[in-house]
Amino acid sequence: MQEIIIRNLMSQLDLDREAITMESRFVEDFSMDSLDMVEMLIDLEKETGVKVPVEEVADIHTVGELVKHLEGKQA
Amino acid sequence: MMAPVEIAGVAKCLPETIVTNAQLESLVDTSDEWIKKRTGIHTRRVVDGETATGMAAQAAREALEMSGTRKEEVGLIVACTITGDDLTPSMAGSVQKALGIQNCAAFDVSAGCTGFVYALVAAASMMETLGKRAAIVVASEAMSRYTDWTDRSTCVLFGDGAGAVVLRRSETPCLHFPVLNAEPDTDEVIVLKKEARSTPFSPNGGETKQFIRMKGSDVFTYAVRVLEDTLKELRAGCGARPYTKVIPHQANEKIIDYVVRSMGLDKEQFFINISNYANTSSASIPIALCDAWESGWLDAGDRVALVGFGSGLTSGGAVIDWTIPKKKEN
Repeated sequence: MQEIIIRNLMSQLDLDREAITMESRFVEDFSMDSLDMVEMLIDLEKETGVKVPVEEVADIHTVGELVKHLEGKQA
Repeated sequence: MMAPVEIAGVAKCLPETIVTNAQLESLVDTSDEWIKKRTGIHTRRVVDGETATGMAAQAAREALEMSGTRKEEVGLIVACTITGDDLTPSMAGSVQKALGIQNCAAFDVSAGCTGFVYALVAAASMMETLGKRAAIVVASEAMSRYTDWTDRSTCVLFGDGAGAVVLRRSETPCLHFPVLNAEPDTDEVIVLKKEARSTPFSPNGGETKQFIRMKGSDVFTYAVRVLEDTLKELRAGCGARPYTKVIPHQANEKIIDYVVRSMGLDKEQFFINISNYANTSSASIPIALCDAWESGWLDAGDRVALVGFGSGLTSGGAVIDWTIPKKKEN
């Protein structure tokens, strides 16, 4: 899951791999807004089949938190 | 079955008043930078004296003139709008009257922002059924009349305007692969609700306050899915001769950006004019078609996918073979 999220963020935000860590914050570090978050969730649903409504990630701020959330939903 | 038709004329009509993002900063808590970044919109036109019907009639008149079609040859007018001036007569009927066309079929289509695609397919199909030689398809919207100017999430998104085409029977079919779809809007993600007025027999009606309401994230998710699906379906329909250009409904540039990235397409293939007009609902595709031709982006021989998506929830597309030479070469 971690690899999938990192790969999608690299593609969506045109980032280098080194720029993305588990501590990276979506808003503060990547300047992502709510539509960017929706885009990310659509990409992740396509690849993993896990549907995450945008409201669910309101309290998720870092890449690591998202990994944990998606892995929890997948289990 | 659709008649073999070509688009023989195209025109647009826009209100004179231009509203900038900066002007909206004085109405709601927003900023020029925020609107541009999130939507691609720089300005929009809004009616101030103009009407949806008046703009429709003007666009239809100019498209008819460009096509060289005589009024007597027009056997059908299909209009689409979600913000028409009257419940009855239809906008198509009012356009007919304004153009002085004595006898033809005339009716309206309501399919949200996909309205023009639905109207185009309906017109070509009815031309075949009724044996008509030419049809006017016109879309016109006065979105600003139904915009809540205190709601910053929607008021920055919409604009007013009209666009029209003339369909004429042709030896070679130039309109192909119609795709029309609708799915239930169970979560009411785009609505413009009408409240029933009180009557002496039913005093509990509401006030007439009709505004567009949208759930932005849900609309975005829906839009990118159906835009992508429709483009794929059209591409499959085209077979060995794929479309090379796309004129999508101009709702939000981020929707187009997403699909470009997701499908690995070239953004240059997409005609985008949302920066000037914002989302003009059903009128956005014919306005874009007109701008695409007037700017020289569109040339005879181009195969173009038209794709719409919007309230309903509707979606649809069709492929056209454009036959009118570049304007600058006319």
